[in-house]
Amino acid sequence: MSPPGTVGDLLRKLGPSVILLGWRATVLPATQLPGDWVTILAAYFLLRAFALPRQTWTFLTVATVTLLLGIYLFGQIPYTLAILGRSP
Amino acid sequence: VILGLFFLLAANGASILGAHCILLRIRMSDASVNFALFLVIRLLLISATVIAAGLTHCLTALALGILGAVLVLGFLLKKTYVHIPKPRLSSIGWVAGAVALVICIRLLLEVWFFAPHTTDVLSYHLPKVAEWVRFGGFTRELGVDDHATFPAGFELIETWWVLFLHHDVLIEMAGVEFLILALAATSALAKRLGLSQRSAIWAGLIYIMTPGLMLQATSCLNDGPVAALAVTSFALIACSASWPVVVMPLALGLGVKPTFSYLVPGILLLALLSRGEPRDTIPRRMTSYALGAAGLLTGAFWYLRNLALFGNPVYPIGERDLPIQSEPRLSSLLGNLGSLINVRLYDRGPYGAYLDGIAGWGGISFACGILGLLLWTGENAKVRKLAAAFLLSLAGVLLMARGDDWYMRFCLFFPAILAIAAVRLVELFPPVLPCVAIAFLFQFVGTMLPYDLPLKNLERLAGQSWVRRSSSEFFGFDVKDPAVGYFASNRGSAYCLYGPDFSRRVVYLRSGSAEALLEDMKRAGITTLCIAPLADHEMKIIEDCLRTGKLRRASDHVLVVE
Repeated sequence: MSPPGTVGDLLRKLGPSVILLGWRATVLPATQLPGDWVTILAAYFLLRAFALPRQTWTFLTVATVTLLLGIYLFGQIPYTLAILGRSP
Repeated sequence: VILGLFFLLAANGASILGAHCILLRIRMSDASVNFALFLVIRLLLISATVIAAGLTHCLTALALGILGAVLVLGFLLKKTYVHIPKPRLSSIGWVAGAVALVICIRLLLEVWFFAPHTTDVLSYHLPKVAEWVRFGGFTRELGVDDHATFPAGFELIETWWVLFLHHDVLIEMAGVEFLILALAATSALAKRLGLSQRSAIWAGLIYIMTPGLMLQATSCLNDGPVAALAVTSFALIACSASWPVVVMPLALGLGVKPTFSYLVPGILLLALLSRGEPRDTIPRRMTSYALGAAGLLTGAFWYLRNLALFGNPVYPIGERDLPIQSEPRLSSLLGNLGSLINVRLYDRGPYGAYLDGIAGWGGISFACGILGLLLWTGENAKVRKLAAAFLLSLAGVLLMARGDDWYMRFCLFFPAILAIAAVRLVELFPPVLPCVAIAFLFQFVGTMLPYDLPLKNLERLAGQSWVRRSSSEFFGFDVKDPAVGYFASNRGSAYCLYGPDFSRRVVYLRSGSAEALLEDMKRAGITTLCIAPLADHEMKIIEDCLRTGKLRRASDHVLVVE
């Protein structure tokens, strides 16, 4: 394993996220990328490779979770309302 | 009803005290897993009792009720109950306690007001239960569905809940029992991974609020119980239970549904990765071996029966053309994985027990669980091991399951680790809590009704008296005769015909011609015939009877002899 702070270490941290982002950018149209959970998590872990203050991390984590939950609810709420007898 | 209720209480009292008595002999040093172990022992005792009573034709409320009352008396005289630990609200926290209470009340209301209504359940899971309860023992008649001979471990628990009242009003309690097991096992697993007692309880609550699992609990389907037994197997291995004890949920799972075998590679991987850890030492080694053996016999019972009756333990797989994949396929793995990642995880479809086209893992797993698990695996070797085991089990399912609309119901064990990871994420980043709370509330509301029991149908069920509550009117089976014939090619709602109190005799007709059908009906003393979707040659038989005027159509699905 490369020592912390070296280029090798940075590549190890960035590699998986970059590969995932590249894969999603290849298989999905650009308009779908912002709503794709794999892209969102890959972007999150890409940022994680950089040493950011704890407060920034908390903010980024909450923002990621909120975005993912928003995507989930946006897709599911119309079906739930329909079952409960209420039109969306 | 009063006597039935007494027998129900006595038999359940006996199974609870009996399971507790056995637990005292094999309880583990890790107390958090003991409750899950207690629940599995109880389910094993019930399953073994129903099998024994079914084989000896003693499957009656009177026989099992009296046995239960005698056993309860024995346990009371031995004062076994004094060792039962008292639940302490302080250990789980009042918020979690209140949420658990609300979920509990909701489940009891669903048990009371729901009636079996899903296709598979009415076609092949419950007709055999109805036959057993009516006959007072196991029967050769299981119905005409080509899935009828599949293992029926979950149906044993359902039989237990209908036998004493001779009524199916409490039948969904079987699923609720497994839901409680899922909660206990997930909590034990969470505690093992280092979460506090309170956080562990929340992980369990979040897991049971997984939409797919919650809806399965009151649907009479057996995929939820499979998930509960799988998580229990993972928990027992992770908590270093002795191997004979681990065999118990594994064998019960295989007896509930053969799809449990798809998950076994992951469970074995966890066992392999944990082999260096010291296993729990049990003072009563014989008891644990006896439990393991009883679990094996109970789980293997259905396969042995099929081997004896049909010469094939997994009959009719391999003999009839069923829409089931029975061998691993790389194309299935890739296709199912792609579908899970790109489509199913978003749950863009109505919630229902079959999980048509969705994963049913819910918003907490989607938004917090996956992220939490990825973060956690980076820093904890124990979590990495468990995640690898869960992933291998998931891969096993994706490899073995046909890529149809419903394969995700075999993956309901996986959100357990995501629920634990979500709680861990909240511990790590407390401002995430409101998101988890919103998603939890949404899943609570969203799983109140499955799509195949819309509000108007629930209102119709609730409008019936509990004695007559049945979904038969949804399927056009409104008959009054005490005995009816049933003619179907394969799938149909046969269970509805028995009535909620199993008072109606149902004769399954397999006649090959119009004359034979009329003769069979005459011999069985029936004048009413109910039909389900028919293949061409069977439809022709009905058309012949109608053309010659021997049968008259009373409604779409009911015909009467002229």
